[in-house]
Amino acid sequence: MQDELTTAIAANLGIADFPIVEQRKLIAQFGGVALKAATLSVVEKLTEEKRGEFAKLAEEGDAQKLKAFLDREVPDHEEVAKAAVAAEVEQFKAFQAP
Amino acid sequence: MAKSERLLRPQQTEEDDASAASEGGLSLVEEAPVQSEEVPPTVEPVIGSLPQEPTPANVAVPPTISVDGSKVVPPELVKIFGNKVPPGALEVLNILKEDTKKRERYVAQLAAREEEKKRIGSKNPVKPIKKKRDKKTQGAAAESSEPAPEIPRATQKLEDKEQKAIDRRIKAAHAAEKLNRAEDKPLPAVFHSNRRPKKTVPSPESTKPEPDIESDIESDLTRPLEEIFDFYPPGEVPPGVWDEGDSSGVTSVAGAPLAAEGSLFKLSSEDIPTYIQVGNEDTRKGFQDRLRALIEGAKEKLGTGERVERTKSYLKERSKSLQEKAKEYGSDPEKLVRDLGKTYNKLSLKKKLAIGAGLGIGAAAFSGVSTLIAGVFITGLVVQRAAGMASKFLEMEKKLEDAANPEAQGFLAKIAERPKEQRKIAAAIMAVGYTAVVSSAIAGAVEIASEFSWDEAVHEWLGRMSAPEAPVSVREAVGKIGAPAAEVAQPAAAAAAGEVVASAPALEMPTVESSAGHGYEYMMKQLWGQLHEGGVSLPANADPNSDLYKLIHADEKSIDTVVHRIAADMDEGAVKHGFFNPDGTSVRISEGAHMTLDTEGNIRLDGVVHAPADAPVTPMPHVEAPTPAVEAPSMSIEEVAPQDVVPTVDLTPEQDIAAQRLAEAAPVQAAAEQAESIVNAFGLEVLTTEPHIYAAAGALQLFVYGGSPVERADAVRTYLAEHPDATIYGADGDGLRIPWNLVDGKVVPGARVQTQGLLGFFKSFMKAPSPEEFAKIIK
Repeated sequence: MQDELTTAIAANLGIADFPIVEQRKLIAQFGGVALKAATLSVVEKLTEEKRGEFAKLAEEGDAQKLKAFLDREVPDHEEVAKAAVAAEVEQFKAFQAP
Repeated sequence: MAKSERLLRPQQTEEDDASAASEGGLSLVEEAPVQSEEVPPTVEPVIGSLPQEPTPANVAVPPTISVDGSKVVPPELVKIFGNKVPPGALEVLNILKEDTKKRERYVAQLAAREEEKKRIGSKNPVKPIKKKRDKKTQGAAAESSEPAPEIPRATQKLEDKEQKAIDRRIKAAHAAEKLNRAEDKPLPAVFHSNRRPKKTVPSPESTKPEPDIESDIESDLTRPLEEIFDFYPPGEVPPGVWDEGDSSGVTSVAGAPLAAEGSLFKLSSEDIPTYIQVGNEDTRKGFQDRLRALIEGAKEKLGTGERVERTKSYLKERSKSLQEKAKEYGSDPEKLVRDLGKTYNKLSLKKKLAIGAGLGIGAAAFSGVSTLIAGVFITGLVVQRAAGMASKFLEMEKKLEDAANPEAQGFLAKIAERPKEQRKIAAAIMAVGYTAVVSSAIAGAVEIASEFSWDEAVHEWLGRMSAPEAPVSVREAVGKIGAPAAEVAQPAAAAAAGEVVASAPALEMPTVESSAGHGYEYMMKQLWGQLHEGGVSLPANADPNSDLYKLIHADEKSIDTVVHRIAADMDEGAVKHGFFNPDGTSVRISEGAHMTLDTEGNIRLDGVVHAPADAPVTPMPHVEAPTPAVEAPSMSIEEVAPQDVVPTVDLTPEQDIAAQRLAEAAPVQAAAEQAESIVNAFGLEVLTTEPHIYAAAGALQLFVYGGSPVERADAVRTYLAEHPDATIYGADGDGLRIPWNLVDGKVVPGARVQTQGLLGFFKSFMKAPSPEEFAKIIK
């Protein structure tokens, strides 16, 4: 499973020519960056007041409440997050380009 | 010198040449290896040479030369070589004898080369390796009292080389042919770049490049070395012709071989360093290619390592940058992001990979669904959730790895039939959907699965999911009916990866699969739900009589009436479906049938707008009243255990005792049923004290309920006698659901009905029919 995932993701990130071990490490590292970027992209859409509320809900870990909150406050939160991850991918690929 | 070192010499020499050229054109003279002065230049070994100094009078035909048997040496060669005329030169001249121009040019080349040899020889008379061997030979000669042993040996070689002489003539003919071609067409650049003769100082007479026969042959690097050197047979290669290379195989002045017979540059497997030995390609070109590949590979490896480190540094800095950015949003978000990173970092590499896939990285493989899954992650947003998904992902991986797993049923079984790679991708998707258990994730699963043509299997799986959050099937991610394609939101990550956008699935209509206990109206309502959840807007030219128009304009209060009117073809001007017949029967919906909307906005069931005239029907009365909004829970009939739960009973009058047994074993009512009647969510009054046959919403299932066991048994028997193809569900003695059928005139109970559970897990037996499931009373 990991081989296929690694291959797919590495190809997307433009690091398919790296050794497989390094590919995995970089993908793992990139995942953390993407997670942060996606989170921040949603936070950015919230008002200052709502940001604290959002953080608290997230810490509680109640996904249903969180979803309801985001649906209400950032209706397009999925698209926002997707765009953030996509932007990170593009930025990463741009860095890789010679 | 070690063999490997000798092997490297040509490459090194060429590089040196290139370097020299770039540094101002140092001549070969300056680069020539230092030769010992102990040996005079006149003892330079020449194949077949004679010991005497050449004079016009005593020019003898070299023993190894035979030109058409004439043994005549052309004067121009004598002038150049004296009595040491190379046999190859004689061959070439013999072939070119009719062409004076070419002959003169060739002689000029030979003269220039010989001049160059003399010049080199005057500075460095003998190469070290030759010195050693000459000494050895001289020593051997000194020990022998026999005078001049070289001549007899050379003479002996004459007979042995008759055949070789023929070969030489053939090769010389080829060389001459090359010369002819060279006049008409310049050599390819690659030849010039590799040509060793650039080391040869051009003769004063010809300053412009002239085609060189021997170098032309030599430049053909694809040929085996021994083939090239056969132009001069092994042991007869004049020194200087092939530069200062290894002289093994060169005969001494006396004609005695100085080394084992073989080609000058012939490579054996021992000559090639083990780290570059590939196959048996003992050609110079092959060696050079391998060496070049080795060097370039090393360079590339070095470059990759640097790129990896640079990339790691980039990501590290990027992570820091995002953390700094989080501070701008306050302490709580900053803490959240930091905790997110910490938790993430603690995960295993496998889970990180899974999360990376879920985040939409690798969109080329996961297409648009990955971005949707990314949304799920944000919806959850807690890494614990992500970690949970990753765990499930790994669990699914293991599950799907075993294609022969006996638990693999339904969707899993179908996935197991797919190629390994697709199974693994499916595992990732289903793991996300499984963990998230939200409609969007499932929609994503449907979408990506559809790309692998697993529609049916996924629908089957979804239709049997027992999780209340899971819809029967969803295609909301792509079900933007009525919206122009350009306006349909494409997944951002997919859009970012150009190729993904190109391969994204085309827009599809929402689709609902039939499921046990659900009929037309239920399925239409599901379509309505998908349309509204997907925010589908009507196209400008939508037909007001179309089903799509009606569904989109329906709200929660009117939807039941709308779907009922559509199902019953009650609206004038609308397309008729023929789901219900005038006699009260309805077309039977086959298991796994799909309902969708076509481009005209009409509902289609299994691809048809109107039910075929010969479609099987269910003898159920059509209820005119709108179906209440409450839906019966989904039920799955998956497997039938051995039919030994209840004995078979003949429906004959004398079988009263058996009927009694049937009644005793058959449905018992729940103890909670104290009231004589219950008004359920359908608005139907269900009597607990009287046996009746009821139908579920959509009229796909029949139930027996109420009264005593004996009374229910009678009701089942009576109904099945009239409707032998029907199945009636009731309760067994444990309050679980069992089917009753008529088989060969006998009422036969089936095994307890079992739910499929979720992905093959959490299977359970269905409870006995409940009044809440009954939509209509049949009998």
